Amino acid sequence: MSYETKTATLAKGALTYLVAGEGEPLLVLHTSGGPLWTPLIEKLATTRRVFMPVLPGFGGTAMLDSVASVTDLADLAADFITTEIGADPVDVFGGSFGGRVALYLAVRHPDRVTDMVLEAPAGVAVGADPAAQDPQAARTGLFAYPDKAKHLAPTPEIAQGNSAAFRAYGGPVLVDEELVALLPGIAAPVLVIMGTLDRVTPPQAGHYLATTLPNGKLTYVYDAAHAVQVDQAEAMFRVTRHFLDKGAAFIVASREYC
Amino acid sequence: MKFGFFNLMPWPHYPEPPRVYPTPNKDYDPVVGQQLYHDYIDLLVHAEACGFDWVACNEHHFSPYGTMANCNLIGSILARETKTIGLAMVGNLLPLSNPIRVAEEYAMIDVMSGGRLIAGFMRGVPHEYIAYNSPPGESRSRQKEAAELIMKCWSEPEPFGWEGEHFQFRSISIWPRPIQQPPRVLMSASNEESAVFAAQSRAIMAMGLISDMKLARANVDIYRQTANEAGWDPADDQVLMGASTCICETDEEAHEVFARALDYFHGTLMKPTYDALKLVLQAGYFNKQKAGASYDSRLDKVAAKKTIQEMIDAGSIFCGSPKSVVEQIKRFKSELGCGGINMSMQIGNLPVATVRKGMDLFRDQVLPQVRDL
Repeated sequence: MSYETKTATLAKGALTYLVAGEGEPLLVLHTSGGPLWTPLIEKLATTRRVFMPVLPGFGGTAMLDSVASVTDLADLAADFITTEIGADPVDVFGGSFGGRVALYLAVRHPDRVTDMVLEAPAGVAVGADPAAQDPQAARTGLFAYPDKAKHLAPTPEIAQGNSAAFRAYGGPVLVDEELVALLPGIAAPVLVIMGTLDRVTPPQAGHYLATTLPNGKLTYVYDAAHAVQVDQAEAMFRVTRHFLDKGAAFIVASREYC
Repeated sequence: MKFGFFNLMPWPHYPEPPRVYPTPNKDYDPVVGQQLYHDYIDLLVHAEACGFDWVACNEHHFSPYGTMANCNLIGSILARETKTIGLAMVGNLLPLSNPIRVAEEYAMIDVMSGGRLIAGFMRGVPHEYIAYNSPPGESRSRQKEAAELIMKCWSEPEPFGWEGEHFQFRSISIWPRPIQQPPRVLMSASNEESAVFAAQSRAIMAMGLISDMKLARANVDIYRQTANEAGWDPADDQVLMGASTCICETDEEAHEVFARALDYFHGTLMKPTYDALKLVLQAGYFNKQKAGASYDSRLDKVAAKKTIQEMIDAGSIFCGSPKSVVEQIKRFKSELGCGGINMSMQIGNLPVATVRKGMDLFRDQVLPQVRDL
């Protein structure tokens, strides 16, 4: 399935986004790897209308003057929901860096979010030992099956732009103290998905969210590294779709979601 | 050096070699079977008084050579009937089982016994896959995924879901949790691939059915090397060898008694198993190249019309007077570098009294000579 590339006119400027599929809207907040139309997104677009804003600076776009932080990105996403999707509230999927944006979105704009699925979210690995983190993991440990990601790799120029934008928004953060303090206030049902082979987001992130979020659930996807949506798209789609459709009742077995 | 007493719980009364797989169960007499279970459990309990470090049970299906369809049932009795000895379940066949159920039952045994469980994460032998209608080609990947899931069941601090290739569970939180954090895990390492997996899993490696001491040593070396590459150094007692064992007052008596019991074991009890293995090969699994290291070829080598002395020399069995068995154990220690030996003493149709006598000889005349190896 191909997607369309469109532009939304928001209060803070023009925002490019990718969109495809029919059905209930799903907002996708992409990783620091940029707006990648991964195998998971492809599957989600068979049951949902998927909106993936290109966060300013990523995917070859320019930064916006008044969008400089992760909280600014969350506010921008809230405006996008209201202005462009036109449905309040919506389901949200966020991966890694996008997961951190999504958590801020739920904190700052709880009225815009119904259910959230977060893949290996950044900034919440409370209890992880910084010294134990592999500094090379973000480069070499993203995928258990790198071949599945080959077709997604951006051009070197765009990849460079993605890195610059990521740094501009603060770069990698193991624990975002400001965000962590706000987590208990998120009432939305949240499914946190971690790959069993993840070397980028420590397992403490999943544990901490499962403990702290009032309606948080943690699921491991087996044989997947950091980019679960690439490594095990089918398994992740099964559980993601079930959760988005049924909320807390997704733990009740159903042949429809096998 | 540490030692285990292993009881296969064989059926000792089969009239003649069965002609088909699976062995028809009309020749199983449940009334005789009841007494047999009690006698066999008594032997397992007696192992504690004989100085063994653990007792071991395992799982087989549709098998007259081993009548434990679920060793955890025996393990739970032993958790009550013994006080200090390790309880080695060697073990549940992960490709065939619900991993959550395994995690729960093992945790129950660990809690009831005060943390004495040694948890076997076994792959099983090919005829078991026929019994449970599980494709043999999936056995490795099912074992691997189940092992990781069970470890998660024992270690995760919060309820969690599992979305895997073979197993999907949306919200897991087992009760009880085990006492050991986590329980000691044992895996078969009878070929190179298994040895690597055991080392990567930081599990005790276990080998049985040895037919060539040099090949066995090569597996130990692969295990140790892989462990070192993964950043850990196995202790000696994490290298475990298993062998059928018969100890009598004299070499002559032991050789004669064991030759009879092994003839019955291989010629009668195991015959349907060999037939099942042929069917698995016929179905296209475990090609010749791979079979070089696989269970069936090893079994053939162990059993192929050898004399007792030839089997002793090959490292397949321990057999003889206490003095001879001491020497055989010393040879294992020096040639294989193992720190543990699992003695399978209730084999074929060996009388229970003969096995008990062998256990007492082990306690009085073998153990004092080999404990400090």
